[in-house]
Amino acid sequence: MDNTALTRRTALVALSATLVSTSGCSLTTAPPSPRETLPATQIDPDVAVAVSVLGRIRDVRSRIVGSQSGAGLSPRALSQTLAAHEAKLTTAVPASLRPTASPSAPAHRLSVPEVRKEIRGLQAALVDGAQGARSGAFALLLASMNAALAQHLHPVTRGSM
Amino acid sequence: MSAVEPLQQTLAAEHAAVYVLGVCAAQTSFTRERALWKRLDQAIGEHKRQRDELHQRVLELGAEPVAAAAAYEVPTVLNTTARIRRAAQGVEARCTDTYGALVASTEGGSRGWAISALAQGAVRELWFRGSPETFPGLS
Repeated sequence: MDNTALTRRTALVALSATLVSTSGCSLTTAPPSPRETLPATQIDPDVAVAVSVLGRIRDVRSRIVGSQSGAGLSPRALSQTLAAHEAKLTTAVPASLRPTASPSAPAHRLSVPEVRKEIRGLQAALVDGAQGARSGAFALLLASMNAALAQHLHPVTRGSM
Repeated sequence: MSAVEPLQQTLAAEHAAVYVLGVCAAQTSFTRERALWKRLDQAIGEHKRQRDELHQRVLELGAEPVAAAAAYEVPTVLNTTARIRRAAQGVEARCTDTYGALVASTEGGSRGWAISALAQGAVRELWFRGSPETFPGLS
């Protein structure tokens, strides 16, 4: 049906290469430099998006811990998916640019509608990032993450078979 | 690769999906497997809508939209519910891979369409698969 679909390895290798090379940083050879010392003009837009999305994922993941399950939505399964997304982005972002701040925990246990709202907000960021990404492989990764979250929201929004 | 080629490949995938899912629905009992039948019917409707949208996009780019084949190979003998479900899941998995390739190879409106199609395709795949994936469209 399709001879051009990117393999996962191809996409992720291309993503890592793109993000690292265009940022002027290296994961293995460059000395770590504080984020604030990097001039904004040296940061590739895709890297900036990756850093932003990475921080957003960490924040959402911390907020849904211990939240209510129901209507087919499993915060535990959702958290596992977000952890995998976070790990993938972490390997692609230069170490010096990774968010270091501790994510904020919610003051109360989130309800199912509140979890859905958090996820939809993250989805909007992923879609925006995918739409504007310079690298096709990076756009695909973000779009895939958005699709994975859509699957988690599906039982709530459309009922299960 | 021209801007229209990825769209043509996705359109060809939609033609195949409509055909194979139609066979799946034809082999599903509306009385005994109504939930599955309804999901198949809904999936066919969504693929037809996306097929028509892609057809229009290709026309707008000044190209002749790729036509459907007379027939497509059905993945397996569809004589059990499990096989029908697996075949439908396979169709949706291949389509999400195709949408993913379209995301990676386009920009602007076509990429936006592909991002949305990938999410919708992943949800349809979930209907037949049963459990979420970590990276749909990246297989």
